[in-house]
Amino acid sequence: MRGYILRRVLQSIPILIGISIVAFLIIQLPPGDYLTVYASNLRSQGEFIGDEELEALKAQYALDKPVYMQYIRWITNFLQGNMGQSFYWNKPVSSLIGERIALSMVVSILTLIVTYGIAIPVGIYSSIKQYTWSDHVITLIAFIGVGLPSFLVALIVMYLGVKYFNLGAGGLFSADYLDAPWSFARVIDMLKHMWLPVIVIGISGTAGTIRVMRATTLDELSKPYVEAARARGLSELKAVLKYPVRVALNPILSTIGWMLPTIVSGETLVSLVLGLPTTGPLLYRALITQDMFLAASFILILSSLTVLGTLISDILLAWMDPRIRFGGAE
Amino acid sequence: MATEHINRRTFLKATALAAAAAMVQACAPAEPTSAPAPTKAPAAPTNTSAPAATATPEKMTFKEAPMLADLVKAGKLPPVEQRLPPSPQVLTPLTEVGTYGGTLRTAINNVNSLFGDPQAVIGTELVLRIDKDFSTIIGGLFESWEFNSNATEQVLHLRKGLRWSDGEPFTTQDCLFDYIDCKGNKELSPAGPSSAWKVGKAMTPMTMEAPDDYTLKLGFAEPYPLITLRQCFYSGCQYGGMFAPKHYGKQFHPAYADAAALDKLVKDNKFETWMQLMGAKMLVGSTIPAAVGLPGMTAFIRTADDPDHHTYERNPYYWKVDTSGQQLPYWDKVIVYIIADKELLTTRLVSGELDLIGHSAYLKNMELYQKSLDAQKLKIYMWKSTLPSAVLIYPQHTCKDKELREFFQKKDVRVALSISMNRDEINDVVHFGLGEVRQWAMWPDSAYYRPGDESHYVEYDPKQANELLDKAGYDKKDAEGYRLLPSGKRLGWLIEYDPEQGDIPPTLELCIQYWKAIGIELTIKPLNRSLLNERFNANDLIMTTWQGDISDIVWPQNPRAVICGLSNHTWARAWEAWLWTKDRFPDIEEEPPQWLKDQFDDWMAFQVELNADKRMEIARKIWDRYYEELPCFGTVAIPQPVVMKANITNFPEMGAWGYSCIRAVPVNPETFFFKS
Repeated sequence: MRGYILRRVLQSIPILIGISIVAFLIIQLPPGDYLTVYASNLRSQGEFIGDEELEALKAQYALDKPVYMQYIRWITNFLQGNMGQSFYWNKPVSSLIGERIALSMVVSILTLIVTYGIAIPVGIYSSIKQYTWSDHVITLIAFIGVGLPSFLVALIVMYLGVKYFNLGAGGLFSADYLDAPWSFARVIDMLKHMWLPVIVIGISGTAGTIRVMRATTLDELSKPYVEAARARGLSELKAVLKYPVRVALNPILSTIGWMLPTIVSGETLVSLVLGLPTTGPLLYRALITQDMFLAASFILILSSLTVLGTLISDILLAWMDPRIRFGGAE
Repeated sequence: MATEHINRRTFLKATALAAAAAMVQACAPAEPTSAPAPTKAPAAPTNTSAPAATATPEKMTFKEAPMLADLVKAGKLPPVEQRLPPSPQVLTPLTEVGTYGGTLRTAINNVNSLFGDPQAVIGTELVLRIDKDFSTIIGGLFESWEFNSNATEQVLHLRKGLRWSDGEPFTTQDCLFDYIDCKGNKELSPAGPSSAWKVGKAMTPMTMEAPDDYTLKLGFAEPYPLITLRQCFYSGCQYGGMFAPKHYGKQFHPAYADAAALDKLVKDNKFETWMQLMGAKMLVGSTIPAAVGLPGMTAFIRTADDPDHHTYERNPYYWKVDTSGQQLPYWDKVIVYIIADKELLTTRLVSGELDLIGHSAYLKNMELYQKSLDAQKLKIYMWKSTLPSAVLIYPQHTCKDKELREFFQKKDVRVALSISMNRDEINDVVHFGLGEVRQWAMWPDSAYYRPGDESHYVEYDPKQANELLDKAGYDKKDAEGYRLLPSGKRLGWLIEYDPEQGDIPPTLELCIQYWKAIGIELTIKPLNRSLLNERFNANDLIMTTWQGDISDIVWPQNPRAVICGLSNHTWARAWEAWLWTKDRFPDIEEEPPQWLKDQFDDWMAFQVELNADKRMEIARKIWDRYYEELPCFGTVAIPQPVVMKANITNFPEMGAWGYSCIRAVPVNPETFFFKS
């Protein structure tokens, strides 16, 4: 087990280096850089920026150096915990991400809890009751959930909320609690606003997980060892939960690591539609304005989290499933 | 309003007509005895302005907001008499003296663009300011000014006793700090001061001296009578080059701060250089101080800064009072939400969660606003916009395609393109019939307007358009009915545009049909703004568009489409390079035709002319040549709906709204309040 983990950790190092290079290069791909965006904004206000000034600015931001030099400068700083400056926001990248990450994580983790809390039991129930009317209803709802794009759900839910329930549209706090210090009332106010994004973001994940859970449990239910367990007189509930469900959780565990980047980035599209102050829209804006260091640092963080998440998934799987563990040790 | 009994379009039209009528009244000269129109042109240079404020009556007793009175009681703030200047500026509220309290909620799309509604509700404080007619210039932070006889020197007089929002006195030292220590520092401002403070073709920076704490002397290498226009526009704001809080900025500036302490400050704030630290701490966005902790002169000061909103609270040292002696502003707080999605912003407005939206209020949403009037207790004022044409279409006279360039350079061709557009239909389809069909020209209340300016080549006449094109030598057609160029290629081109300006795409969709009817194939392509700009700079465009923003304040600084060059109103890259940046782009520049050279020379003469009447004559020549040549063409002029809570008081029913006049600034947002 230890050798397995060590090997997986070592493997991820070259992957991370590769990712950091790609992340930086991607930002350089579109024509121009932040300064051309800046110059065009100045121009639309009737300000001229001369060549010499542009050169001076380029030198100040080190944009006049070759790309590999810029990369080395950025990555050495990054490794020392300095993610560089955002041109657009005029702020350090770390504080920009920092001030949004807590909220992103609260929304994402709540969504995860709701998703698994609903999806796993419902999936199991649906598989046990295969082809009954309740299974059909669940299946129908799940397919709709998988099929609807979440931004559309966000729009519909918001419309219904505003039109019929007199709910606020978007945001996480009402005006009274916006700048208030944390208190019980403020938490309640936040929860009042929070359920909407949680439901919207959770719907497709819940629906998908229900389907996966149902399918994998069904695979297992027909296997001889379940028959054997039943034959030995185990209660139906125990016979299902103790063995087939444990195996059926495999695909979910193997993807749980992928949730890690999602927890940090949140759902970009939904956040944009609902106006949530999470990190997703920050990345979106950074890409549009060619805000180099913000975008590159962000992409690198998300990619690293994906690598880390996969690692965690692998370890979890090895722990859950001896076949993988021993396969790896040989 | 009984909306149910009349159909929607009639109602909207009626609203617009009412607005138009109000507009005409607003535009009429205030008194027949006042000076003739031309002298109304902004800032006759030799003028010494009369201070705008009514002098403070001898025994006015000052009152303050309850939230400040509490702080005074707790000993955290000096009493109001000590916070106000000895004779504070007295503002007469538009309709009535207000009451303190309330939080105003508005929103922006983009965190860096405070020039939308924040300006309209917070207001801004500039060196000088635009008066309520949106044209005349009056005192701002400086109460008066005078020029020497040839306008190479301007002396400005600062209001006495002004204080920054943290209580420190405001003096001319703050002016020197911004202009010399900040804008004159090569590391901090590689580009030097903004072009507003540079004079002539050589762009020589002005000089600044402070003979005493309240007098500021500016010197110019060439006459610069029009500097007052800059002082009451964007460049005239805090950190725009003419003033910034020295006592606060010192700690970030190596010329004043202790090197080790500054180094630590930079590190603690996670910056790499002191320039970045200074840039962030002194940040002013679109004329509004935009960093928490940064002292300002505006009625509201930013106190919280979150990813989804900014909060502004009243400035306890604000230097204006109303006629009853109450220190302004009336509102306690302003919250500016950051809502990237425009539809979400509209939703929040009509669900009653926002109190005032102008910048993000669109004609296409009028029906929706009307429906929410009663439920959310809203009202709509139809203001005039600074867009006497919502869209301006620019054929590129010097595009790289030889045949198309020859085509566009023919005046008859341009006339044909203009009169083949059915502007009534554009108005109905794109602007819901609320716009006004006219050529791009100044609004009738402008000092630069003459009756008839708006009617050049605007009449819809596809038959004549076809004849003009036939006569111009493009009479051969292919099987599909499109005209042919001399080389036998089909006559057609690509128009590239910035899709962020919402009125452009539907207008262009219609143009495809109009020009198909005269045998031209138009293809449209949205393009990211900075890419569009790059393609323009490389002279790669054939045709493009931009909104037709203009005002009396802006035009003398920036001729817009009247002479190509400066800003995005541009129609001949090669000529522009020759005129404005000679020898800098030798591959691109080409000598322009005589009329355009005349335009440019007159423009330069206009900049240094001291006599207001003569200046007006020159302006007239420039405009006449423009109308005559029709280098580009407009579509439909539009009004600007401003949607707000019905109980917002002192907000004028009519005004001018747009980039070109800093939103509602001239109407004193500090006097707005919620009437209970």
